[in-house]
Amino acid sequence: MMRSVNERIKDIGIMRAVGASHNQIMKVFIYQAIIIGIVGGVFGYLAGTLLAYALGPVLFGVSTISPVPQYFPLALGIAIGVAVIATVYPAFRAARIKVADSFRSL
Amino acid sequence: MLEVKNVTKIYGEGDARVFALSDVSLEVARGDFKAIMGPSGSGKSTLLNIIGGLDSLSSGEVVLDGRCVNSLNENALVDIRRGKIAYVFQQYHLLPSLTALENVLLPLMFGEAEVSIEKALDILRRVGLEKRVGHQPSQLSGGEQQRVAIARALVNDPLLVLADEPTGNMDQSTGREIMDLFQQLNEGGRSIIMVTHDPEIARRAKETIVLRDGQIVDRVNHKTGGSKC
Repeated sequence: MMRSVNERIKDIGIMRAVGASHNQIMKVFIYQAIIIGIVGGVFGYLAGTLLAYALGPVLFGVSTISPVPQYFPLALGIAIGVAVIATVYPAFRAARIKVADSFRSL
Repeated sequence: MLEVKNVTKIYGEGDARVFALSDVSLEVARGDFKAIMGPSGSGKSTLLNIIGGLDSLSSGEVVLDGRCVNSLNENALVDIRRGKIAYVFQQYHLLPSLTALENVLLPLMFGEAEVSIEKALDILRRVGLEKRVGHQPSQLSGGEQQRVAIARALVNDPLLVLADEPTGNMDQSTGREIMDLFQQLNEGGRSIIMVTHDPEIARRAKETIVLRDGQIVDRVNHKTGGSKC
């Protein structure tokens, strides 16, 4: 997420030059993080479940693996939380760079 | 409308101090069109950035419409960028993932005014891009990208347009078209400050201010042809 924010410092400068406030810039990145978190959480849960089916019997010597859907909201929440936390600080810093500096940083 | 009073900008500290601008003063009236010329590193873009509140100054004052721009907090600067000042850059600075129309809508989306697609389309029509509204910047020529940038600058009806070498990346004929657009805007009452290297472009303004080593060394009035320094 930090890399994504850093790569978009010029975009942040453009958005600020046309009237975006710090809060609006933060929202752009936080919404993006939420979407990445949702996509990552869903795919992570599905991939983890499939992996458990494939490797569970081999690693743990059990005959059947049953999915636990109750963990899905937790997995999704953690994925979104991690993505948002990883975004807030770099986005906060990037939104405070002087517009002129964000163009010079290229 | 705009007063720049004794503005100095210093980069670095101690022995490494560099005076990017030194005691620069100028005034811009409503409907004025000023060109700022000078060699690379003379402080042209720094002056433009300071006037627009994109960069800070070391001393002096920039007063726009009665408000001291350099002492405003970030929220007040955001208000100025949403209504009073708009920028046109040499590198266009369009968001690459958005279409021409979306780039023009951007200032309206961040501002408090109504997001009017009709208004954005009308401005794109005025700059001759009515058939390119759905194209992304990578699908447009340099001249077309600059027209989108001009349309984006105009969508909030700014008092003052700050243009940093808007024709710098263009061939002569495209540059002339862009300058025709700026001249139309000025004739419509918009104030313009434009940085340029090109004396021919500068002659299209009402006055040229020549900077060297961060200081104003000449002012040429293109109506009277007189030089003040």
